[in-house]
Amino acid sequence: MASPTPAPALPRRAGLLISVVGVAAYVLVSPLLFGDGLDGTLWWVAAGVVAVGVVVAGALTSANTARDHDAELNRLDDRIRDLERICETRRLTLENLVEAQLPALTTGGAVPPMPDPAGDEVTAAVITRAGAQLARVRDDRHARHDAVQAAVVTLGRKVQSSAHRIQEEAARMVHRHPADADVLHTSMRLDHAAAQQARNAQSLAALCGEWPGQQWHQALPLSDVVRGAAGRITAYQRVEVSGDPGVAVSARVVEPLIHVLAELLANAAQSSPPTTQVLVSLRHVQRGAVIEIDDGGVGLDDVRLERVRDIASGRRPVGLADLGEIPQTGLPVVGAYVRRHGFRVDITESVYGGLRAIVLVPTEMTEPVALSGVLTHALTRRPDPLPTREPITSGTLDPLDAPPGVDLVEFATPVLSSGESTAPEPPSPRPRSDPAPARDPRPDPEPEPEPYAGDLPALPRRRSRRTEALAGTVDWPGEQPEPPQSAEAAGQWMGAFLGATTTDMTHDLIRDITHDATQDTENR
Amino acid sequence: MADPDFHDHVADHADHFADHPVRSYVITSGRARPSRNTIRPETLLRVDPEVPVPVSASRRTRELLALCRGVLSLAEAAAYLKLPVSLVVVIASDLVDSGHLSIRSGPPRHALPDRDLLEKVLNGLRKL
Repeated sequence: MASPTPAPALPRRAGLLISVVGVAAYVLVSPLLFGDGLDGTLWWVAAGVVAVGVVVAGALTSANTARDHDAELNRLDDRIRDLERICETRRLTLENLVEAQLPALTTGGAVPPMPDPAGDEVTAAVITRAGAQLARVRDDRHARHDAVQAAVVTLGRKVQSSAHRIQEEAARMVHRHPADADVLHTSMRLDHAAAQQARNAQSLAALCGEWPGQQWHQALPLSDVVRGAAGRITAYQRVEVSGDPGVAVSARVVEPLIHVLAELLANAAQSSPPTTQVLVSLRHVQRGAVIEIDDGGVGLDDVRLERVRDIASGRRPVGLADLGEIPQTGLPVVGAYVRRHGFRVDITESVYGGLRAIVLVPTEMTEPVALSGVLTHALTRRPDPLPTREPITSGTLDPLDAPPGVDLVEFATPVLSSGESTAPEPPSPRPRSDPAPARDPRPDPEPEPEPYAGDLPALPRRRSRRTEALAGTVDWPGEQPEPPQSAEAAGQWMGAFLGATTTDMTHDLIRDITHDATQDTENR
Repeated sequence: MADPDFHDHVADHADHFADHPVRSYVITSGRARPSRNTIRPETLLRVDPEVPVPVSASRRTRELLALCRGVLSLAEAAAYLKLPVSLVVVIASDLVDSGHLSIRSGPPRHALPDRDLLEKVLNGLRKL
């Protein structure tokens, strides 16, 4: 392509010369051959000169034309090159649109850069128009996606709250008929069905990236979290929990963790034979609490196991739109929670041949198990402190004793990890008027305090609010005020009271009253 | 009796309704009928300290056993546990079966105070 013009120029000139020489030779020679006089010769010469002139003129003209052709060819060559370049640019543009932009649009992935128009105005205009169109389609899709998600979340919430209402009504029903086993049975069945409904509805919301509709306001022991999760699956009776590490899960993550475990338990129960147990073991490790769920199924091949692990560990996000025709919401929900809350979930092959799901709840999300609400309530209401109460206090690391600014988890962690029964002294112990512990951070699987086991009176006495105020007793921080006593509770108390006439306390009371009455009578 | 700790935000207004993550059917494995029909709400329960608490006992079982260290009526234990009475009957009757709890149905006749004493009490009360 460098310079094609000189190559044909030489033969053309040579041709021209040869034709001129040929014609001139013919003109000069032909009179000698054919001529018969001077006139004839002159005529021949004149005709020959004319012929030569014509030939030369023709040759010159053709040379001019050839030059013109060369220029034209050059121009065309340039044009071809331009067109080829434009063609290439447009091909690249088209390729980019088809192979990069459109897939990005359909998959909703990151938007790749638009191609370079390379100075071609038409292409540039097309690219701009295509970019605008794509952006519009993208925006439209986002808007519709958001709208669908919002609708799904709203509907899911409605279903979930109606399920919770059913559970609430079922609970009320039992309270209204406290002695009727049939009512309890019906209530249990209702409650169980509604719990599964609520779980499914909550799964929808979780897949749309929404926070669950239900929240708990108190840390919950890990074993109760697992039992709570078991209650939300169909085959809750097959769940067998072993181990109680004495760790509670922070209130903030109780509901997410229950939901995660419920989905994993549901998967495990579904993928193992219906007569087998789903084994759950709980452990306390240095970095938190571990829940292991084993199923007795047949496991998965390597490719599917890898895929399942990616989904459950949150590495591969699965949205509502990716579920397919037979939606499997379990693991995508687990993955969504993992991404949001920072649990760690892994799925491996189980030693039983099936799968084992492992959930790690990091230390930041765990707390020492608080003394059971029932027991604190019963024990802190006791008016006269028992001497046996002291050992508990000395062995208790109260998070409220932590100096300000110290993380409570860190504060309690050494005790948890060392596992010693005696806790170190709090950094800045505050004098206490009432030594009953609000929390017990020791990882003690036995929540009930042994020192109380002694001679408890038959009936826990209630302090009257008035005497409490007069005595200036400090109410425990975090302790809830005693709820107003209902007639029903009072009746129960009285029934129990009257039933317990053989106890020493009652005898004392009767003696006191009769003694007072006798005194009165004597005084009068 | 509304539990201020464990409740659904929906149930804030609810009276006598305490929600707990662990449902009643999980506590009893779905059984609603007690294994024995002698336990009434007013039945007095007492724990047998000799029998060790089983390792697999749930928290609710442990709580019930801890509450019954003294003599406590079933209804009152249920109130403390914030569980329905009929549910606690099922739990308690299991514990009676396993020997952890013993029943004291009512006051023994011989332990009742005599009529003289009761009259004195009555008089004393009237004069207060």
